[in-house]
Amino acid sequence: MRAAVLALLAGCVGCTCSRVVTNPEVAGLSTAWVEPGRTTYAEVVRRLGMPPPVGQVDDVPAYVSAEMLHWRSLDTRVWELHFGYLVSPIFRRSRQVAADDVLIRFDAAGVVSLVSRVRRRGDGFEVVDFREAAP
Amino acid sequence: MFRRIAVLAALAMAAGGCIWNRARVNDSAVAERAAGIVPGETRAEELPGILGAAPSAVIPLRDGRVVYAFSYGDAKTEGVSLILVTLTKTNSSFSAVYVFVDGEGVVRAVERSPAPAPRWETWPFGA
Repeated sequence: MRAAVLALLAGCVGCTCSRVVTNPEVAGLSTAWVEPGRTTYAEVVRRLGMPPPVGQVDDVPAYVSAEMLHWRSLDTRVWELHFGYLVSPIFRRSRQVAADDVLIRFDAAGVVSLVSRVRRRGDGFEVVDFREAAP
Repeated sequence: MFRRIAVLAALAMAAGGCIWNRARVNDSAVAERAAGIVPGETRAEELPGILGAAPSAVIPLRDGRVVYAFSYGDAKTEGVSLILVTLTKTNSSFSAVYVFVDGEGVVRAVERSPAPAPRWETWPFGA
């Protein structure tokens, strides 16, 4: 038993703790000035700019359309255990620990119909802003 | 003397090293080249020639309109490697130039997302 534990320990080449933060500036975007039913697509783009892609540049279509602009920032922790020498498998575990989402929807005339802002930290969600245009 | 050198060498080996890694995705110069696009005149087929890149994404909108997205990004990784334990932090920011084209294939607007520079940071823990 002891030999097996020692062999396992000897096989551990190392571990890596990483953190990957993408588009952190999204957390600081202000949506308080957006008025559902009045603010237009052009005004939103002028004040906030267009949303950046997330994670990889191919993700663009999910975040930009005529009906929606979606800003997203991510904070992910990655833990890796490297085992073995000649053949070295890597055991990897990642967990998203934070995210900020700003979603603005537009009606057919290009006027804001919904603004929402959600902040996630750990396992908790907080709806920071959620407003819809009056029907 | 030999013992001291051996201890120093062992310490140097244990210290491992520092990590700096920078990954640039696509060519950020598309943002400057976008100034060469003339809304109302430039046609969609001219965009790759003006921007020097193929679009990363083509997004169909209503009424035959299309958005061409030219994306780019910058990721900076800093860390420390102690042989058995490696700590790294990666800060990345992505941006894009969006070109709105009407149903006739003529550019109507050019927008871009902000392009903040990611910071170099090492410590991966905390808020």
